Amino acid sequence: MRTSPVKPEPARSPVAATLLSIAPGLGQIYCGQYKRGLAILAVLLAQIGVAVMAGMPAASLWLILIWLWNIADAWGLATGRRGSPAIPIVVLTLLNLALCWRLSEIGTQIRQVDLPSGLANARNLVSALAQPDVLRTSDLQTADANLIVTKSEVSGRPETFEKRRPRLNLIPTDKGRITAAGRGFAPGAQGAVYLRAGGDKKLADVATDRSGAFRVTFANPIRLPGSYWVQAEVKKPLPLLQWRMSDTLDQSLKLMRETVFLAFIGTAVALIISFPLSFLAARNLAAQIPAGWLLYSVTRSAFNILRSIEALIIAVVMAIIVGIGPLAGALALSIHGIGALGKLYSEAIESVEHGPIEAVMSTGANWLQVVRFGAVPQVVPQFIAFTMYRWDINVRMATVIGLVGGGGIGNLLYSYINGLQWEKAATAIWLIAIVVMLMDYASAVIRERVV
Amino acid sequence: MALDIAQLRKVYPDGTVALDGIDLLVPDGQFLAVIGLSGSGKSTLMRCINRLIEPTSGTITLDGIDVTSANRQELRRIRGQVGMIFQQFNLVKRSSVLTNTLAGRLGYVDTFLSLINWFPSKDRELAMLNLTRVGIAEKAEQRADTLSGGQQQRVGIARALTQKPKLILADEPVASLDPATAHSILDYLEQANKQDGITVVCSLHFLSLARRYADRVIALKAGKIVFDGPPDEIDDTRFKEIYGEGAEEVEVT
Repeated sequence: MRTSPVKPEPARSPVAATLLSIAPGLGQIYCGQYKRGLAILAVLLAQIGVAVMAGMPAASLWLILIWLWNIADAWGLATGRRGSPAIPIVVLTLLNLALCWRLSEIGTQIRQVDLPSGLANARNLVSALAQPDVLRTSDLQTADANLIVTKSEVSGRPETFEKRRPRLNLIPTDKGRITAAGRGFAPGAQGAVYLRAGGDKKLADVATDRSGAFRVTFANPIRLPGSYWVQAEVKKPLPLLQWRMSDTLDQSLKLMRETVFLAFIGTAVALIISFPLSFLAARNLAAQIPAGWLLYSVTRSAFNILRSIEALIIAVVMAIIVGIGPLAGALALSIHGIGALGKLYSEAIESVEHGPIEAVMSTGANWLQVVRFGAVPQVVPQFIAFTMYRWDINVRMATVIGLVGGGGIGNLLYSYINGLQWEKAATAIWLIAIVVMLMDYASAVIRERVV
Repeated sequence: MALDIAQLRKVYPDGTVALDGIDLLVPDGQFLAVIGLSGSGKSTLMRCINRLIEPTSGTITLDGIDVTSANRQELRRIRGQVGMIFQQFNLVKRSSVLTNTLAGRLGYVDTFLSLINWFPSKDRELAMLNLTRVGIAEKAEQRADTLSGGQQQRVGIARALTQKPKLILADEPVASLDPATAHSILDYLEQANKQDGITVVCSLHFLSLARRYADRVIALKAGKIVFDGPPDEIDDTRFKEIYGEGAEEVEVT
């Protein structure tokens, strides 16, 4: 236990101190340690209050440990030792941990976790991450036909008549079966025939021969008379040189770009607004102008308030006001960024060397000139570093904000996950990870260069 | 510029009495050295004269103009005529030598134009002229922190001269420099004093430097003037009064 000598005080009776401390804190006050005594009393009362509000008043009984420590402490103080507050700190931490566990219902939820199915979902995502949908290695060739069913007969009518296009014929055979004959497809390719009616139904797998034709027979799937759309789909493999980005990757890239720009706009707007204000929010510079303390308090409080509202929450509010989309995201990042950057900027200004400012003041310069010639050159490197860092944070923030309707790739990722399209979600996740890492690296390099 | 200080007191918020009733008359064109131990009030006195520190009571007049009651605008005009040189040079390290020197014109130029770093060509010429005068014109475009201590202080002098001052306040201008460099710096101040007729108030650590450069010396001790007269009047007894019994004079040659 760490002890340190107490200032020489008039002698106190250890017995009196011990007896008095039966009322928590009174013994300490008797020994001249007013703040310590009041703190003990206040903490005990507050803790009982918290336990009652949490609906577990019985938990207060654990405070007996602190009460005992308080008596020992009073005795110690009277004999000239100041004891370590380790015991009450440990007791209070454990007690509040227990209260919070109960209040937040974490315990209840832990018992409800269905680990096998949760892990199965996770496995889907992890295996998707190993094969994201990024490349288009085949072209899809399609041919349509109508399957016409009346009460008495079944017939097929091809829908494609152009010469070079693939073509699908439907030929009813006996026993209610239908033969699908395709030609004009890529030779030696895989595919399938689908019934496109009220949700796709695969009728048969097909494989084309060397002339690009296939022939397959399947049971007539139709009972009710009518005209039905049947489609043959063949994947024509592309040579390596003609491989292209998948549509998923194409769209993810577009929205990733939107996210990076969104972050940039948020950072730029925050920079433009917080830069001039930050000089008023710096104590050393605000002190040089009339009513400076007022301007200082107003700007500093504004920064603190804006900074303390999470961008995610601002985004939700903004999505309600201006609608879901990138505008809401940009506004949220800007508003939060003004507070975050403004505070960093003004703290950087407060830590500049005073000498150059004094020197510029001594030449008869006015306040703006003092700022321009005395302060700005000193803070430029830090401002650049903070701004880069903010942009970096904003790219990550913009992704998350997209999840709640702020536009950008977050929005896309959210819809992929909701649609259980794991390969597509994996593409977006990989892209986000790569861009965030690159931004992180770039901002670190730039920060190193300028500081 | 003549300086007249009457009953000047400065008490800091923590209760320290830095200046305790200073009366001082400095005629135009004098080179006045202020000596005394660290904490005797030298820096506070210097900074009260251009009100970088607000005096608690008393009056300061410069050529008959009351500094202590000047409003902000008047104070800036007065500061424009009073150059200041600092122990730590107080250059903006990341700015160029020329920009630091041009800062001396800030009290005279248009605010908006100065904010975009545009100075009239005659001001640029004046700044270059003063840099030439202190022998570092060729470093004009370098960043100030690439210069040695002595060179930085020369920029400090050029900045003060670029104000076209009538009074120069030099607060321990050579305390951070080696003896040889100290002399070259004080030579520039002497030149400004003798050739341009600028009044100089200069605080110094070493009595030998005061003897060499000053027309007159005042000594401060605990915020009071304990000696006022020509430098050669300071004999051993006086020296011990100013610096305390145990002190011995160190020559800076």
